[in-house]
Amino acid sequence: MSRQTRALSTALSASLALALLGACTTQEGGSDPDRREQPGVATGTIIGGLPKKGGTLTVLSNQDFGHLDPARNWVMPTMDFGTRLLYRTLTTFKAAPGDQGSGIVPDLATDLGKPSKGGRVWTFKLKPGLKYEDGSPIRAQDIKYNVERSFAPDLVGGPDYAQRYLADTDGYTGPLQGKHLDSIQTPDERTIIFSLRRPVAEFSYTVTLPTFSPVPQSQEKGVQYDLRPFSSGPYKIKSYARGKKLILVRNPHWAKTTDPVREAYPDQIVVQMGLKGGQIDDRIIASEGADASSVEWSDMQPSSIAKVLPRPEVKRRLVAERTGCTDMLALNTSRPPFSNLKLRQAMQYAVDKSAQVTASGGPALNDIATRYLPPALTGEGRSNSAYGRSTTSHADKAKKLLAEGGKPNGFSTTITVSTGDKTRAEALQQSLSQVGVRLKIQTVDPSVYYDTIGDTKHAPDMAINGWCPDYPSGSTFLPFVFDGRTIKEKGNQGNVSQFRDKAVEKRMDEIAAMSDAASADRAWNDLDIVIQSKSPAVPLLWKRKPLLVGDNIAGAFGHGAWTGQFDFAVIGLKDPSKSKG
Amino acid sequence: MAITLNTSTQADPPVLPEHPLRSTSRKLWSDWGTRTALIAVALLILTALTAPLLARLGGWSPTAFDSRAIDPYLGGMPRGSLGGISAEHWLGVEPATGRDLFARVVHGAQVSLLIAFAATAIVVVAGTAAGIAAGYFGGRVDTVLSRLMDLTMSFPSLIFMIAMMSVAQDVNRVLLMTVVIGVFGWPGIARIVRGEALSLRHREYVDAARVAGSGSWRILTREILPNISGPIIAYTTLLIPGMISTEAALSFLGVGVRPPTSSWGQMIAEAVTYYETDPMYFLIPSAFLFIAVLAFTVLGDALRDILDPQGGRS
Repeated sequence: MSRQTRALSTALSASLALALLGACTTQEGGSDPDRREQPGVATGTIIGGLPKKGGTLTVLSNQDFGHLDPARNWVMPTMDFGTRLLYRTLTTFKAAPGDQGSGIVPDLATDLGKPSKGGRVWTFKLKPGLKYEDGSPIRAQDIKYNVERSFAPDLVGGPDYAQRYLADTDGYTGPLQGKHLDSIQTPDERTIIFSLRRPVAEFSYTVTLPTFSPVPQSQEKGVQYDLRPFSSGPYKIKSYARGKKLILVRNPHWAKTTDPVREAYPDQIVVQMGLKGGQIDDRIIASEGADASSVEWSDMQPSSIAKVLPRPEVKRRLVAERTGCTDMLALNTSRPPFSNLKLRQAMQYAVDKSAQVTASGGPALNDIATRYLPPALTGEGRSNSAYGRSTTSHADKAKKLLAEGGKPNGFSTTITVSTGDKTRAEALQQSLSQVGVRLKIQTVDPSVYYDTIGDTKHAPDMAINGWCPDYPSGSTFLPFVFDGRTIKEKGNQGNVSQFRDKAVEKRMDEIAAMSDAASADRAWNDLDIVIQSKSPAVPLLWKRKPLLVGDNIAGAFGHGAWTGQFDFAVIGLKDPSKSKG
Repeated sequence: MAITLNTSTQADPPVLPEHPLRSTSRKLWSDWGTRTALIAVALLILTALTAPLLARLGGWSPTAFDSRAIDPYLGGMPRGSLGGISAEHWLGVEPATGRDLFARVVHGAQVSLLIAFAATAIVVVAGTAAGIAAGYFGGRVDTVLSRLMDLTMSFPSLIFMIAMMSVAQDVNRVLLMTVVIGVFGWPGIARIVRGEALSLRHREYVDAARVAGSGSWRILTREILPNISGPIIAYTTLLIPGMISTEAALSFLGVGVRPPTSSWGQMIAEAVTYYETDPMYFLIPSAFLFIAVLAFTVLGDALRDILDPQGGRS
């Protein structure tokens, strides 16, 4: 279950998602009504009250961080860890649970940025007295330098918004050869001006990404910078053994007075890596010794749910915030059978989504997705779906479409899933077999899953793929998943369906050029329905992120901006003296 | 008086040597442990052969989901105690999917036993042929075959099997597993057969046959093979549990049969994460695997004691 989803999301309209949760089907067996509520604490509650300063917070993880280098950090919860603990950005999300967390506040900057020339030029002023871990001042030039680093071909993996938005960047390959961008100006040490190629109304949100954090040129170590990012945040790296252990200690030069969000309660943060998922759950459920001061990094295993929900003292330590991502079944449109529109549309009716919910941990942790854009981006009353909101399959409608597509007796097809998703693949296999579609399942190790489905020549017919918006705007979702111009031959991400449609691409460009955020929002929603009718993917689930905390943890909540991961800015301990296990 | 009478009646008819098959089965049946093992093996084979019928009797196909038997709000745990054992689902259901465990376990028996028997057949045929040839002809043939046995035995077979299974993706998995397991199993039996053949080839009756003008083929099949059939039969029975375990191990490691086909190893692998919350899911396929391996081992041991008394003690 170590699926890494690029980028994040924000819970804009929580009420809609809750309404959808209530709309789930009732099982025939009849569940008792009070268990239909969400698992763990209610959205918006903070577990454990207000933390006390001091102690050691332990994070138990089954994996290492992909990249901690701010120019390369674009994997969902790792962005939370980096920007909340190690580096500050121009603006950042509020440290608040629920809807409030989607609001942004100035971080390094004094305000949310001043747009000019109709949103083509953005100016940010830095606060005075900001310092790095060695006491040297944070300068505007350092932020420019890190944005430039994100262009370097060696430093891959990071957000590519700078490439998409900044003006005059053609052919630029980063600052390592001594070349700099003219579209970022730093007239003095506290002012930075971005010139964009088109108006970007939500640029204040764009600069929450780690690309817009400072890296001084004197600390440049190329790809080695990943191992020891130079801290501008409340903690600095004491030691980092990749795949084993990361220890963070306080950065004495970080000043709370300049920082509106980070509280930095623990004295030390230890990340234990490479543990087994089920063991992490068991250790935190037991909460013995130092494990009481621990939180888990990756999702709780579905098999642990039965150990948590029936026990109130454990259940109140479970966070299950909405991830804001949409989980989809991508249909490979580049070759038969799914180059045929009718067969793709048949899949929309053939897939039993409620079986997907059960295989992924049940309705407590998942809502059925009826469209591509997650609820946070659609708003009230605009959740139209081209195929209805049915939760189970419609064999008759699917068979009719299969007949129209020239395959009345079904066909054989393939799916590749990571080993953790095998049950989900079997649920798909079972529901597709009802309409005569024979699905062959190929399971691969999670570490090579994205390489396998991203190899466009050898990609399977179907793949389970998720996408999360980077911030609350349709522009961070649909263009990444359904723009045919973003397809890469190897390492293809996002547009796993290899969906190429000129009309859709043209419309995306038109919407991107809109300066009014509200009408752009409406346009993205309409485009969602247009794409649904072309059926490059079947929306499956809107998931929640189940995470457990130890008994001694306080101030814990899932933050909507980072797929429901804990907000590391404000998490701490109830009793720091107990953390010395 | 009565005793004398009895003795005299038993001694009366001329004692003919009992047919070896009949004497073997009589000896097997006389011991209660072996008798139980024999019954268990017969039942397992019967189960495997009639799996589709048995599953229909239970009312569930091994791939049908039953969403009513599980509680989606508890991560898909089976409803009811003991992993959902009920009149509807005789051995309970699989968590998260609600598939019937009875249907899956009897179909799993089919896969497990099919692979075990087929792989054993490959091993026995190849091993006997290689061993008998090496032992009887000796010289260069022996050298080549013996080195080949050494090579195969020293090869890291499990790693090779895992690699093989992940590389050959579009091949029939059951066939591939059978061949892969079989290819690495033959040297063991070949060595035993070679030793036996070596000791037999200069016996008087073999020399006599040779002098009488018999060809090598006739000597091998008529003189040598019948005399080493005892150890081969015993060894074969002992091979089967190893093959069942190997199939389970490969499935456990995720390179076994393709879903949704069930096999015991695959079921155990999936049940590991549920050992605490749904122990029955783990216990049922494990119990079947345990019984199968134990029964074949007991039977094989007994057969060896009867057919190859010296081999058992060496």
